[in-house]
Amino acid sequence: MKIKMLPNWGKKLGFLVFVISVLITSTFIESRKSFFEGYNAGLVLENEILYLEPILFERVLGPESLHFFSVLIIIGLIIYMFSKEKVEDDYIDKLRLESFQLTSLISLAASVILYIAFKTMKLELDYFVLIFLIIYLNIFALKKRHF
Amino acid sequence: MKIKMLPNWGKKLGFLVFITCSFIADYSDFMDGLTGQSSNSGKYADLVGKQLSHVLEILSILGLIIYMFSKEKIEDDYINKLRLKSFQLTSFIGLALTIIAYSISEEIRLTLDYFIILFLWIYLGVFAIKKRIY
Repeated sequence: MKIKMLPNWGKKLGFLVFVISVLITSTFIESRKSFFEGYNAGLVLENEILYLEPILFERVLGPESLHFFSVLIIIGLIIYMFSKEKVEDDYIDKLRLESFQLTSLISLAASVILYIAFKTMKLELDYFVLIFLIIYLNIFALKKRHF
Repeated sequence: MKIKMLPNWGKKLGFLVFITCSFIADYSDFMDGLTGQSSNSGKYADLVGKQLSHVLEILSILGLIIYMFSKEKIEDDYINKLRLKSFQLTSFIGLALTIIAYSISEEIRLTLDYFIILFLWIYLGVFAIKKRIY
């Protein structure tokens, strides 16, 4: 099975979509609140945090658009993943397959260990997608440079 | 990167572990579905115990993993390539499903066993089909 892939400029496009959506989501109230929580080591209760005004995109599109941009972050990474390398040969193809295997095994191992430790732990779906994609992209980038 | 795999008898072992453990762990849930009522009395759950049934669920996952890591009877480069491709296809299917579900609703929260078991089943199914067709 041969997968049709995007041309090499897809990398730039995907990266651009990813970075822009990350920047946009970081301007939303929810993200800024989370940032303050982390910044204050969670010592300040959420309703004590100063009242934040919606700015930029949130003021125009409303707080519901946060989900749209979160999906765009994932789409950007997927476009990046599906873009060809500059030099595309059988070896790169093999590296790609091996990276998928390694990523699957790592995420399986992590999930099984977490499941053993915490049976009732529930996670939102974007955790899985983002973690999977980031692990895959890193492994592939490492493999590409090392072998 | 070459992965050390279990010998062929691992398939039988994994299958056996999976069948026994999932049968014991899920028997009462299965009967609930069959009879169409939720039996809160849980005679069976009392017998097995909540902690033990969690252990059994983990064991049934381990059974599938043992099955996954067992060699075929004939092991060559081609089978190895099929295995790698199955991993790729499974990743794509899993990613696609998750992203579609996530874009429909960000409220969905699932326990980890859904992901593990779905991933393993899709992988084993894809690999079994690929092995027979090509």
